[in-house]
Amino acid sequence: MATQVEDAEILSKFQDEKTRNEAFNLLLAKYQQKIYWHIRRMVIDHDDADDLVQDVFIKVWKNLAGFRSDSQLYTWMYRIASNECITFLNKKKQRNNVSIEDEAYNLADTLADSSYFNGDAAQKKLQNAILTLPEKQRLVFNMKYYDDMKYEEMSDVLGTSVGALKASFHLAVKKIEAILLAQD
Amino acid sequence: MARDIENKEWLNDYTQLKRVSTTNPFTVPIGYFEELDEHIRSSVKLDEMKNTISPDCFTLPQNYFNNLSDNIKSRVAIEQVLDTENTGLTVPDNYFEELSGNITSRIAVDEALNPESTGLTVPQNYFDELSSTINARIAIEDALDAENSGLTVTPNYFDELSSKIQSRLTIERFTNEDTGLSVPANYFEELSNNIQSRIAVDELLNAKDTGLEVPANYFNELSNKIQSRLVVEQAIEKPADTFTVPPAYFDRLNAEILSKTVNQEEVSVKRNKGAVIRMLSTRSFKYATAACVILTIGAGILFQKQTPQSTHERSFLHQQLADIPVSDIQNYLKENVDGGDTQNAITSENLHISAEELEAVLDDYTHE
Repeated sequence: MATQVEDAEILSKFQDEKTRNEAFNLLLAKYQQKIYWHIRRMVIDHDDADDLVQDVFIKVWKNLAGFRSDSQLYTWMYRIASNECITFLNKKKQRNNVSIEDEAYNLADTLADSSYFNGDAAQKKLQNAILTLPEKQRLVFNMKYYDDMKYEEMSDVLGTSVGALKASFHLAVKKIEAILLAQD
Repeated sequence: MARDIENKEWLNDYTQLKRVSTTNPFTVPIGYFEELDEHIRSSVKLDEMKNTISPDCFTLPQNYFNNLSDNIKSRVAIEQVLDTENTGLTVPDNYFEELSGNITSRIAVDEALNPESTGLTVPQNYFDELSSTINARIAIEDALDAENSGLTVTPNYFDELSSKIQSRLTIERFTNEDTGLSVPANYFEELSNNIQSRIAVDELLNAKDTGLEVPANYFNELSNKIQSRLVVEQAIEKPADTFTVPPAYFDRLNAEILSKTVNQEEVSVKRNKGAVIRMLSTRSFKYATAACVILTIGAGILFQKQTPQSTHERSFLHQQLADIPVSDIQNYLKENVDGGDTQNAITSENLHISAEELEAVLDDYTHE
């Protein structure tokens, strides 16, 4: 993949103190939107996503020097972003002292009130259906449905086996289909 | 799932989901991604700064945490003191409202009492005399102004004018009124002395006012006591005063003594350098010899006859009187002699009798 070459070049430049800033700029240019959308689909609110994406890249900056090249750079960054999203959502639930279901309703309200959502009714139904999934299952569904990520890469991101991811995805799709069918 | 799920062929099995557009329904503010990388870089730098500024860059005074507990306790105590309602300490009403003024006044008083602090001094009692000085200056200025007009008055003339006029009016009333009352001539000229004398007399008569007291009837008996004292003093005057010497006796005596001693010695010194005086040829030596003989004889007689009558033979009068019976002398004295005659008799005899001898004689006469 061309991205791997580029990732290799980014990592090479980042190891050199003189080209570290340049490497980081290349990294941002390549992955900032992907990381943002991955976070945004999870937290729904733009401002929360903005805060989290900055936190993710701060961690990337801090830990990129110790990045091991046995995994792809973007899957490593997706892992960081996914963990940040789960941590954020857990804190939010603890802060609001609500269950997972109740948190889904809160996110649906956020989606309804958001001024940065221009999807149609079907898309809105789909988002509400996705919000009913558990967080990790939502991550699996989003990465497959929106990012068209392979199970191996998803496995690298979530640290879960490909089979488990396939089963999780199958269950997620069936649930969403049922929700959409029920609302139709 | 037999189909290649990686190529989204799996959507064919889910009709409802397949009808939903796969486009991203979420949007971002305009220009967000253009600024996102800048925001991220700023966040990274900010985080670096936050991490590079280690807590070690902040320093604390030595033993800060050791003293922190005591400092906090002290601060709590101070707060309690300042909170007077909790401590029960009160101040007078409006104390703090008047405090500023009081402090200012105190500073002014201290500065006035301690002029050295300001470096400016005034003469002693300057401010006490300032008012009168100003008045005097005004009077002088008025006088100078009056001189300009050609008319002058004495100093303080106008200040004393009112009282002078009233005094004059009073005097005029007395002199014009015919009251029919008169006083002796020179009454008012002597009045001052009379009043002072009266005051002195009153002070003497009113001795209690001076704190000195005398026994009752002291002044009534004082005259008699003084007269009695005079009689007694005259009676016990020295016997020597009763003896007389020829006129100018002591003047001649001085000249004789000088001629016989000093003047004679000067002559002898001129004649003989040895200045030897013959003792046996001097009159004093002869008298001394005679006296020694008389004393030796008298002592022998005294030791031979230790009777009271023997003392009567020590003088001529005693020897004469010893032959007369005592009863005859007593009868004679009772009939013909008083106290003054005895003194006259002794004086007429021109005898040199000492006071002790006279007392012994009288004692003998009174004893049987």
